[in-house]
Amino acid sequence: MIPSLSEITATGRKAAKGAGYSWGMADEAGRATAWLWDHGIDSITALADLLDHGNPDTCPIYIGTRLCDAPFGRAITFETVQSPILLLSFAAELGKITQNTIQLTIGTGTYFATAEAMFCDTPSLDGPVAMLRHKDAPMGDRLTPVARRAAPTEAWARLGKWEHKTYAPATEASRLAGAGAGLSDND
Amino acid sequence: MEETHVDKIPLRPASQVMKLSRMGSAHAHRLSFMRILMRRMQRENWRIEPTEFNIDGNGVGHAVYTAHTPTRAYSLVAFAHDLPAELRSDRVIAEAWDCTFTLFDGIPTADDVQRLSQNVPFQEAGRISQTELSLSRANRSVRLWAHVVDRLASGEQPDAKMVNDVGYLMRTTAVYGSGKFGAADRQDIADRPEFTAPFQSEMLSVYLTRTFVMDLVEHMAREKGGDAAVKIDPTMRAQFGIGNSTGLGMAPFILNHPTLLNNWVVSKEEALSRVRTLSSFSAADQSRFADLVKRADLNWQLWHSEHPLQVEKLAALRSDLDALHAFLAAGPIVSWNAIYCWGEENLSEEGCELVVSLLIECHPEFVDELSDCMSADESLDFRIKGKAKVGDVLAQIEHIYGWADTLNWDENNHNARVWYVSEEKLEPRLGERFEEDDIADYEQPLSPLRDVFRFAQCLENKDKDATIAEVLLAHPEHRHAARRVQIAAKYPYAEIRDNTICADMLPIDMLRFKLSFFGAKHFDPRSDRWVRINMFAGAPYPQDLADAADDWFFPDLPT
Repeated sequence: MIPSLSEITATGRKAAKGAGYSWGMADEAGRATAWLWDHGIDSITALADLLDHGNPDTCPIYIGTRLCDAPFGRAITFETVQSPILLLSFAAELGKITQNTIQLTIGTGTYFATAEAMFCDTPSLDGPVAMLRHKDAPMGDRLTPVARRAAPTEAWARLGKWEHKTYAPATEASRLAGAGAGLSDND
Repeated sequence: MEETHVDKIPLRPASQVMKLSRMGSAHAHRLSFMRILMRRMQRENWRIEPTEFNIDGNGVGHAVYTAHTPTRAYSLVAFAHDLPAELRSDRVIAEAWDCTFTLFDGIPTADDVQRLSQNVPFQEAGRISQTELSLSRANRSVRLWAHVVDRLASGEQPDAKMVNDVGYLMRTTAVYGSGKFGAADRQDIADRPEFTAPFQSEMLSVYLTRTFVMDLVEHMAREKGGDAAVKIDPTMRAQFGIGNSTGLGMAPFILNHPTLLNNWVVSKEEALSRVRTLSSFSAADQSRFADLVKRADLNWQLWHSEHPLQVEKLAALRSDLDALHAFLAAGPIVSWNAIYCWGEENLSEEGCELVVSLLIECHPEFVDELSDCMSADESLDFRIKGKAKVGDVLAQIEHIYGWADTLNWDENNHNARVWYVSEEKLEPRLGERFEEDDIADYEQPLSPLRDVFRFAQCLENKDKDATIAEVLLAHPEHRHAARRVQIAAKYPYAEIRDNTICADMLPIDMLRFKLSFFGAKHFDPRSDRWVRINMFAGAPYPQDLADAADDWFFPDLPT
């Protein structure tokens, strides 16, 4: 399955809601997942892992929104973040919000977000996290949108299970009354 | 002509135009999306041609219609089916249709058509790709379809009354775009000038569908009648539109896209304001407007509904039209604004909003350029301004939502409804909170008024100098309401000024409002949450585009 970005946004959002996030946080999850996927990173697996195993204290969606709502001063560190690569999307937003270069390290990986673009010096998906305001020019290769590609089947299915929790069960009463239209239109 | 401008008349306030009853009385206008598309196709001299038509005597096969713009090509790929009557439903839960369509980006190869034939007929159960811009389907108006085929096959023209009563041979139902089921994302095509205005690819798909359907009915008549068959008389042919049958799915759209909603409304209201501000008004203007009212009256005569609510509104509109004719015949009027003010004072909301559309219609020179202002980059307003102070946000809430301060949310009727999505083909539905067990567990965030009220209750207990960031850290459940308030504070028409979950809310008001921006006519509710409409009725067909004026929406006066 090759999803569109709007499908990833919608599935990420609904899956997060199904996993217990509020709608406003779920919006953040959907948006972050789509941005990362568009920039070549497997955020679908990252989000599925987060929803399956995460908790609010180590959640990159909570941490990322908190930092965007109230940007940190010089630096901030987190020993444990579940699916920390999801923070990259929020780092990109922080670059725009603060008009500074934000350095994000995840384990052995280093990324730089500026007001205009995201750069990857060394990629890494896991490990302790640090963010700081970087005084010098960003390093590494610019991350740009990549072509559509197939979603990881197993992780996409895991998101689907969470997403499904937002749908009301099919009942005959709902089928008849909920949409307010007849079942046949032979007229 | 030199126009002397007096002080500009302000745009009508959101407290007036964003009430659901007013929104549910809206009529199509010059800035409606199908009008924008038609103007562009004419201006740029688009060439549209059927490039394939492989449909057998049972009406099964496929066809391709290609629209050539100055720089690109877009093709409607249509699949025609032989649908058993028991499967014919306009609802999302349907699984088969008379015809299915996709709008292809370019000219499809045989391999493309083969791939699409394995997917498009299955609609939501199939997959399309980045080279497809929309996915849609249509069902026959069974009675009129059979009548037209039979008449044409036997060498006769269809009965004019039957044609007028229905108005179309097929009804589209869902027209999906913007990345749905794998289609191209909006951002993939948003920078193309022809798709900058909203819903242009969807409108193009529907316009081409209308042409295909007319060709299909004549093809079926020829298959049946052979040499005896005739084509539809061109004058009658122009009257056929393409129907649409729309359910609840449209209502969430205008709640989920507040910035876009604002930009649609602000463009229309700016157009009205410009016309109302014009100081010059001549006897010729009055005569021109009176003729337009007569044409709108002809349109009223073609507008049928059996739904009690719309029957009542159409009766009011009848009285309004009579009063308007008399007003315009009674003597000289001083200005365009005098017409509007008289309408506001003397007409129903249905009649008043018709006057708005007619006033806008008279001044393309001041109005049409606003079609460039109707799209929105919604990502720009996603981030919450965390530094905002609680006291300031409460003031914003009071300004936008203060009208509802006296609502007692403990009364069930203010909370009566639940917007939800069924697992059954993900059909959007509306439930009764206090009658259906557990339905509230599946509630979609489509009740901004209640949710903002809850957010405000939370804020009332906080230090007024605290920041929203601090509040949301402890209360992530209010995040969507906080975002909503900040958007609504920036964009005056982003928020509906009504309660979207109260017991007497009519979803058809939201559907009609959106459909009026599409450019639909003859709104015909089938229930409080379902509406049928007619699109492109009267519009020139592709071969007539070059010579036609942008004056097709209302029927012509008899000569």
